[in-house]
Amino acid sequence: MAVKTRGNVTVTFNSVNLSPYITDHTFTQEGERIDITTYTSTANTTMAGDVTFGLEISGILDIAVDNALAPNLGNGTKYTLVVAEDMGAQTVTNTWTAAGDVGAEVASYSKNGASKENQKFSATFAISGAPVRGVA
Amino acid sequence: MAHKGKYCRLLMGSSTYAYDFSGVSNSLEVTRTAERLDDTVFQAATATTIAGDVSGSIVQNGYAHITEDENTKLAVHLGAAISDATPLTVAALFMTDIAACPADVARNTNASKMATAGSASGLMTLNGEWPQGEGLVRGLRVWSGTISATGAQTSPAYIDLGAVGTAGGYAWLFVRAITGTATNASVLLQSDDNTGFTSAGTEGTFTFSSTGVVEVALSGTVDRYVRLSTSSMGGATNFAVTAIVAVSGVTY
Repeated sequence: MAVKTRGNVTVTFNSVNLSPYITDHTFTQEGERIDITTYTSTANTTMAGDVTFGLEISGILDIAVDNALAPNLGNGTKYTLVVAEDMGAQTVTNTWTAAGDVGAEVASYSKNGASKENQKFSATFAISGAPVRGVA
Repeated sequence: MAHKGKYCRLLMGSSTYAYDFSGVSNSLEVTRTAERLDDTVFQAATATTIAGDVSGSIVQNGYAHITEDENTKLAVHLGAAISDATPLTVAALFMTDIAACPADVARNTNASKMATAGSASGLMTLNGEWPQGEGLVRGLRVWSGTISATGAQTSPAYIDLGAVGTAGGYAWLFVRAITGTATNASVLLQSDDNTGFTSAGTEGTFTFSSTGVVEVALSGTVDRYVRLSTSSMGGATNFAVTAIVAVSGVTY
């Protein structure tokens, strides 16, 4: 049975739970492929490179969101990021605890307002380093 | 709490004028992006990055409105600002239904785009775009309204930054209109560690004799409670202003 997103995803950045304001999210893990094909290969051959993590969120603009994201964009500080997704039977939690090269930075932040709509925001995070992945 | 889109405000000005284009605008967007720089090294567990320089912009869309003089002002000043070296200060305010609403201010910018468009059966639109200039700085609105007497402003009497700043910042006063003649009118930006302002310190002084945007640099400590207080009307009957404060390490 499919799992609804609502109520099953939590995003916490710098100890601020952004989930009450998020309407959409995309969490990506992309593995680079490195071509190692040689003259003696029988076919195109690759090996796994580094994994790049990305998180995009968008939702309803609130002063709590603005306070959490806007001042921290480009300030050179990495913050702890926790993404927890309840897949039904189990919850997968990826945690980047800010330390050294590990952590998340606000890579982009946009807010907009249009008459007859509610004010909205969107943000992307530059995630550095490997997470601690927990399944419970 | 969700906020209606109509609670946005767009202010634009130079040293000689300051206008509120809310009456002719129907959408507003602020975007800031930090370049992502790869710094992955040997033995790293996976890819690592650091944030690079930040770039940003303010984009506005609106209608040409038959009763609004702001149309002409926007069109004239936007058009002129594209080719004119006169620096502009542009502020995009969101969630204006709360007192200390966020205000992103583009310092020393110029308009990068102005577009008017329309079709035979549609409305004429007027759109503008401003790059970040010397930086898109996020501040909070301190006070907005018409000042007609000296003393500390009320409604709100102060805003709460939430923390003390120790590295200064900026403050802007958009003087949109003056009734009468002002000669060296002065408005103080004060901060204190208590809401009674029993030990208020003056962080900056806005002095003006005409409409326009006045920017002051803040230095050192700025306490968490900030207010606006008028020390001299300069002979004017009243003036319409909006004040914004940005504190390094706190609001940006």
